[in-house]
Parts: sequence; structure tokens; C-alpha cells
Amino acid sequence: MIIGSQKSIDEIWNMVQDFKKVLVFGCNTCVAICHAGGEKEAETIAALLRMRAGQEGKKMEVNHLGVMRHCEPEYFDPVIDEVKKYDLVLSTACGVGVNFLSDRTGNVPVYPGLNTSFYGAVEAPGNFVELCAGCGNCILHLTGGICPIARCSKTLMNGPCGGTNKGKCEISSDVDCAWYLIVERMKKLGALEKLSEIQPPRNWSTSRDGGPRRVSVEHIREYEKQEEQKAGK
Amino acid sequence: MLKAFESGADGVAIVRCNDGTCKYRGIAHRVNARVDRARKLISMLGIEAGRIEILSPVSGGNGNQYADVCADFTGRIKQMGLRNNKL
Repeated sequence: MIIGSQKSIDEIWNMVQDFKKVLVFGCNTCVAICHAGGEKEAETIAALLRMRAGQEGKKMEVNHLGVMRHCEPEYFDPVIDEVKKYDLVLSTACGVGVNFLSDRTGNVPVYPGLNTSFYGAVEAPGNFVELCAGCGNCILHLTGGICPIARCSKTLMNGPCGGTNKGKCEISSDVDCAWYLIVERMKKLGALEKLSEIQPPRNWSTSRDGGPRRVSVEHIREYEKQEEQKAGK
Repeated sequence: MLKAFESGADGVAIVRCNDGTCKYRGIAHRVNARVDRARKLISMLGIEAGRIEILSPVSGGNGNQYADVCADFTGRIKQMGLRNNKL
């Protein structure tokens, strides 16, 4: 899931202080799981902003709302007319949600209440760890399910490097060496010999170097087109 | 807790059972965590963290002791003074 962390109340206040009617709009999927941007957090931010407005002597109406996802129209369409009644939407979704919603709110700006951090998992309650970089060309079958793109500090495809130290990375003794983990995992799987195959230089065009990415699922698109034709759209 | 401050409260007391006497297991640390979070949030607005207290006096059934603990809390808040920056 996508992990985010809330911006400070000072940073949020600086963004919103000149607006009269603000909606703090929560997203109840990924960023709710990481306690950053769900409806509960939106309610808290709204309360803090109302109190801050009172302290600063500013007249500001601040309300909150939450939907399951900001990244799918079917979830926010039922409330979009309500959303458009505000001067500003402070979205506590990830950056995807802010982008997506921003395209659909007409003249109402959508500002981010979070910093979107990474794709991660719940290591322990309250601890979230990056495990995937969304590079668009998965090689986890070659590395024992441990991603060297996301988890090796140098993104090495053929590791470890000389900076590995008793299972830790040279950047910090708190950071596991991904390639140490890969080697140990491959030993357990009885597949260590797979690592002797040298991986060629990577084609990064499937990652950030290829511009904005898009995936189309042909059979779904075809079905949707047929439905639209039936409906005379 | 925030709603109380938003409504103008000078202090908020969270009253719970003493450790080990609550019928819900392991609840105390959750209450503590929520209160700590609320203290940090009000601090961001310049409101003293000490204006939120956890009172875990006695059984709720013991009226006199309960009243004493609440009166002590009220006294401490009065000593801190009224909040200057109410809405």
C-alpha cells in the first residue's frame, strides 16, 4: 500500500490560512492504515485548523469528510457536488489522490495534507517499511522475494557491494543489507546458484525514466467500450 | 479531547480505572497512547500539554474519592490559569 505522513500543522496552516471555507477530505484506504490521512485524521486536522483560525482571529469554516478512495471516481462521485462547495479541498490522500481529485473539482484547488512516502507494508503496528519501488519490471523471482531496487541503498542488481557489514548496510547500522538478505534467503530456498548469473544493465524505461506510465487492461477496456456503445454514449 | 478544547475547555480529564482493575484487558496503554497524541496535538497550537490529564482514581462506584480526584484536577487547572487563546 501507499505510505504517507502528515504535514505539520504549521505547514498546513500556511497553505490554507487565506481560504474561507475549507474541506479536509480523508481517504480511507492506504493512508488510513498508516494513520496519516483517513477520515479520523481528517477530523483531527479540521479541529486543529478551526482552533488555529480562532487563535489567529480568522473567520474560517472547516469541515471534514472521508471516502474510501480518492483514486477512483465511483467513490468520490457521490460527494463531488458537496466537495465543490468549498473554497479549498485539503486532501489527506496520497499524491495520486490529490492529482486525481484535482482534475475533477473544477475551480476548487486541492492541496496536499500529506507527504507521500513510498509503497510499503506494516512491519509492526505503527512501523511501515518500503519494500517495492514500482520499477515496472519485477525480478523478485531471481532474488528470493527481496527487492534490490527498493531495499538496496545503491539499487544494485548484482550485489552485495563492499559496504556490506555483518548483514548491515554501510549507510547505517540500522539498515539491513538487502543483498545479505537475498543471499541468506536464496541459501534457504536451495537456489543460491541462481545468483551466479550476472544481471545485465537494467532498462529503466519501465520506471521513472520513461515518463508517466499507464496500464490498460484490454479486455476490460473492450467491455467498457461495448457498454458505452449500448448506452449510446 | 480536541472537541472539548475547541469548545473552550481549560482542561480535559480522562477518567479511567486504575491499572489492573479495568475489565478490558490491556486498555491502559491504549488510553495513554491516545492521550499522549492529543497532548502533542494541542502543543502544536501552543496549548500546554498538561491541560490534559489521565485520572485513574478508584472505582467509579466510590463517589467521595472520585470527587476528590476531580477536585484536585480542577485545582491544578485553575493554578495554570485560563487559556489565553480560546476561540
